[in-house]
Amino acid sequence: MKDSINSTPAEKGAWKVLFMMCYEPNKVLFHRLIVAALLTAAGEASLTLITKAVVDDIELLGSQIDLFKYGALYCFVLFTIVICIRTFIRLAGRLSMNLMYSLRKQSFEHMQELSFSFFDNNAVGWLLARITSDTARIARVIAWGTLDLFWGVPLILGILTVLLILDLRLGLIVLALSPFLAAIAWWFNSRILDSSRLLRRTNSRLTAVFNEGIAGVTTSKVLVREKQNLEEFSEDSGLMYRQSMYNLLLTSAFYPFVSIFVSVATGVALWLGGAEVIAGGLTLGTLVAFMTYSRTLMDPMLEVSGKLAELQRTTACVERVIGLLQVQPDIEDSEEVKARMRHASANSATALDGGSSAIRDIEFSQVCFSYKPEEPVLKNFSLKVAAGSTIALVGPTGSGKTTVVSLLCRFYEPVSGSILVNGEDYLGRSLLWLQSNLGIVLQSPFLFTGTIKSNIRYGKLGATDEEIVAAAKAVNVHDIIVKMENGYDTAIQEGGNNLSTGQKQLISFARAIIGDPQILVMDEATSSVDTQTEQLLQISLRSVLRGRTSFVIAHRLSTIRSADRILVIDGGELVEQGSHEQLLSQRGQYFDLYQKQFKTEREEALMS
Amino acid sequence: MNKSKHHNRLLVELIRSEKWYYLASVVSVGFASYFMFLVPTIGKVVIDRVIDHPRLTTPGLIENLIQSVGGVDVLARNLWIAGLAIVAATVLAGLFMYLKDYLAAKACEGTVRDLRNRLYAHLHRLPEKYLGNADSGDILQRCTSDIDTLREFLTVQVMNIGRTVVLLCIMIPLMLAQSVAMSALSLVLLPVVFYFAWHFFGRIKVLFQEVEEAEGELTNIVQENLTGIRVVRAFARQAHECAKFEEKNHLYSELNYRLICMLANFWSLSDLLCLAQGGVLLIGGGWLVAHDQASMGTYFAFIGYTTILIWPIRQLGQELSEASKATVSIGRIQEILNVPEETDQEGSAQSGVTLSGRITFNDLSFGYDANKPVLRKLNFDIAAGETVAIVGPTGAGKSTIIRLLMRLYDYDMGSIRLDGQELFSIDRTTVRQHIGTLLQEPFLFSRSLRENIKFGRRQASDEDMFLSSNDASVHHTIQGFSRGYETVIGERGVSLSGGQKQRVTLSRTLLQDTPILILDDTLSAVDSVTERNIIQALHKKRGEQTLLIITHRISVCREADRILVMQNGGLSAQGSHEQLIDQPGFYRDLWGIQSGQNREFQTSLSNPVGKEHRSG
Repeated sequence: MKDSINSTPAEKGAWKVLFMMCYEPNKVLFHRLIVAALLTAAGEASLTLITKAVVDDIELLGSQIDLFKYGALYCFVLFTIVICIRTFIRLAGRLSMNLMYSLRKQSFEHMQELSFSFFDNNAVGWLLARITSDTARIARVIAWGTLDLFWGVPLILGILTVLLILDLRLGLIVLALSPFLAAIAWWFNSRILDSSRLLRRTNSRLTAVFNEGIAGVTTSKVLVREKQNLEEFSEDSGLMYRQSMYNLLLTSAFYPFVSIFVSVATGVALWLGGAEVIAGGLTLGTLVAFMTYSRTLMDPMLEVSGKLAELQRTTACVERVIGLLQVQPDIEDSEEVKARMRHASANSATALDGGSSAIRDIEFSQVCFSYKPEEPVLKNFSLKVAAGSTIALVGPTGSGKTTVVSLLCRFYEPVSGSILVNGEDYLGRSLLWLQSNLGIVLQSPFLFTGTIKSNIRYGKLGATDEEIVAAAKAVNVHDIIVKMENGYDTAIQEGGNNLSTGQKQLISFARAIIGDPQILVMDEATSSVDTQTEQLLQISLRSVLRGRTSFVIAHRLSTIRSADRILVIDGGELVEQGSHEQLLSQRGQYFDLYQKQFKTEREEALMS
Repeated sequence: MNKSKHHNRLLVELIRSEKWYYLASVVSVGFASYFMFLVPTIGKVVIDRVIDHPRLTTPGLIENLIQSVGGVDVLARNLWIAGLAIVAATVLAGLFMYLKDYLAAKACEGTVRDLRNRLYAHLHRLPEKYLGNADSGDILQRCTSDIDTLREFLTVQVMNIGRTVVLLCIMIPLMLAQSVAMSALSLVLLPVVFYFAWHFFGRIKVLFQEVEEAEGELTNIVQENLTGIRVVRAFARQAHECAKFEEKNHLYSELNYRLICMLANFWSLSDLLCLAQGGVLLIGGGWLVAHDQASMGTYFAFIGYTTILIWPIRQLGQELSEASKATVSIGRIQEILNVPEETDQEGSAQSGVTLSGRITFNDLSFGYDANKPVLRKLNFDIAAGETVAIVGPTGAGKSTIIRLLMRLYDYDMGSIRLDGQELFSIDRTTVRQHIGTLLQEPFLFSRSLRENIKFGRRQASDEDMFLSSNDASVHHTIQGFSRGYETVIGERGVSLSGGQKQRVTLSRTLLQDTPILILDDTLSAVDSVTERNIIQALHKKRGEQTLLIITHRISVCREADRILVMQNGGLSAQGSHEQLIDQPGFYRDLWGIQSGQNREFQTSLSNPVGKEHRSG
């Protein structure tokens, strides 16, 4: 079980791994960001000192005060701060985008390496969230967290230092209060983050309930369930209400709480500092500075504690992403093949791994396979296929037909036994070579967002428009396409819902043959299409299959009958094989299947 | 603009329903503003009267307060009173602020909850005609993300805009009363800050949208790649996929970076304005104090006032500009609510009537589109307790009969009668309570099997559930699951096979125990032995329950009292099995195929490959 997230060893050090990944390529950005953050902190801390100086000068000099000097100084600090702020936002933005970009790139590219067994065990939605939202969150937290820490902590320390220098006693009082402030901020921030997360979860549950409500609305009507549905829904929306209230109230209590704490510092400063000013031990400007600073201290405290709380909660994200990146693929080229591929130069006779590029014959030798160890799917499966012949695989659901072709395509590898291509074990050849010589049509056609043209071209990236038209003509879909308003440029929306399943299947058929693959695999390609499409496919199949090694899983009789050899598979074993006539005359399993299917097809014809 | 009127209507209605909460919230934000104002003011009094010029007097309330603690001298010796006053004012300001948030949150969240419930209930009352044509993804979005936008609008934008407006209304007169010159100095740049923020966020909207779209495209690429991973591998297109991803990944990062740069401009420039406002006050106010035009305390207090006002003002600009987003969402929600619900005829409420189960169709014509008739002058009469099979090719209108009988669609030509009463004069609930049916596409909810089977009759006993499951031949299957009836199905649970789903939904319908039962090709995915058992079980009620079976299996038709053959929206033949196989037509053809007495099969065996007979 290499392809499993849980078995990765390095979870504890996930942050460390991540940091090493992030820091090296962005060293300069990190350093500049820190400098800009420190300068901003210094600038902000000094603003209050200017106020103090002005107040003191007014008290001392009255109208003789040189306000111009202070105005100029203030302007200087002001512009420094503004420039620094602009710089650090841009730097943090650059940094977070760089991190997000590279994390996404790495995880996406890593996905392309992983084997099918990995995708069998991990849902698309789950993986999608890792690649998109987790990476974004990590990048944001690291970039803006760095910024806030390097701005906030020095600002807090700077203010406290200035206060201690101005007046030791008052400074100590503020210093003594600040841990409490930090604790309150931490407490609130943690709880707000948790409750927001809970709220998001409830919200997506509510979405799911709505979704089900919409999908099942006719069922509910038919069963007269509307009233109870609403009752159940109001429980969910009530939960959402309570959690939102809690979240809002927590957030709204946060600021007053903190400001009360700050006012204690202000109050104490006024009380003790005021008395000192009266006694002459303290200037009025210093008192003003104290009262202002104790409030200024609040912002960095809140920011820093907020970022720390978020950082702590991002750990799970980091572990998931790092875990994902560390999954090793089950199926990859052997070291030997990789080495050969580095040296080989591909030409028409030799493939990119240096072996022969032509596929002559294929052999399954004593192949055993299982997805789960306790449930064998193929048992000692042996088969020899000569180049150019068409093989039809028939048998009940779950008999192992699809597994045979999945193994052939090396989406999975045999547990024991071997598959030989040109007499050589295919494990000794490159994956890319084998798979780029395949043309596959799956049961449910999958098209990518784009146009019909770009989807057909997917089978041969360099194909000219003429080649695309030729492929479409070969599978009898050309006439259908040109009748559409935008012809070959018809947009395929997400999932291709604007086309019928039959149209999609024909397009995916064109996609499979445009590259003139040496092996053609069709996995129940005609089972989900209507009779009309099936006829179109049938006519084109003959010319497409001629002289091409093909594996066809089918239950339509016309498809099966045109095969050179028919394999009947049941329970992971080859139970009958031969030509249509041979098998019929045996009056065995094939005969039964044929008879049953014959009735079904006649009935379908009558029904439509 | 007709549309914006609609937006306002919903919004006004929503806000009016909670108006007392909103009003109380405005009052408490007023108090909060006043106490916030007091904090720097206390500092001012102490600086002016106690520290700087003990001999001056302050007018009004504050002087009374000072006298009540024993005059300036006492206060000077007990400055803790002033410190405490600052804390007290802050506490009060905080309390009122919290109270305001509490009241407003209750109002907003209550509104949102009610709206959600209203939408959910509305969905269940939408006519099938609308639901059938609507894009369910779009409806879902209106019910979820548009509601979220509205919620954000109410809880964030409306609340903050309200707070800032009240704050300004309270603070500005109080400031002006103290010093017009100082007020002018501390307010001069505020309109600029506001305008700048408002203008900026108005302009940046386009970029925000672009970034959102780019993110959508990126997500789409990843999603397609993962869903279509088999296709990607089948064509060994990993490199191509990476290049596709790379392009969008790059585009999104760069667009987002551009957005961040714009925001960097905004934050730094608005900081510049805010700090410049502080600077104007610092220098200008300093000049006033230095030239004895204002007191040092006033100077101190105004520095405080500006800090209180300037950040909300900056936010106000942003929020006003973002509030326009919500109007789109409100409009979209309103549109859904405007769709008329299914209604019953006046005076048709007949709950409590019991129907025996006679069904009469008289010259009934119907089409989903006005110009494409599905049923054409259909006539038949089914007696209460009769078992009738309906056969016919796809598109003959068989399922439409069910939709009309269930009152999912309304007819207007011809008549349908239940027990002799016109169908549309019986209210929908009563009709549906009397007819048990299964939709062709079995739909189960993601909950336990028990809850699913009892979905239509929550109070049913377990014994009844076992019985109905037994009749539907699914009891043993369910008991074979490790968690039995507690097995949760759907996305997060077990997925059932087509046949299992059909049998579970059948059990759910049987549990309702209705006088009329209609099965629409319900057992297509069930094997023939199980199907026989199920039909046998259904016949236990033969004569008591009107049973309509839409089917294509001759074995099922054979056991019916009568068979209706439907073609092209009308009856082409009816009678018993024996009668129908005696006359040429659809039924006899079907019987020929299924009974295996078909010469074509025999000929096909001897046919050479590639020349098989096809019938189109």
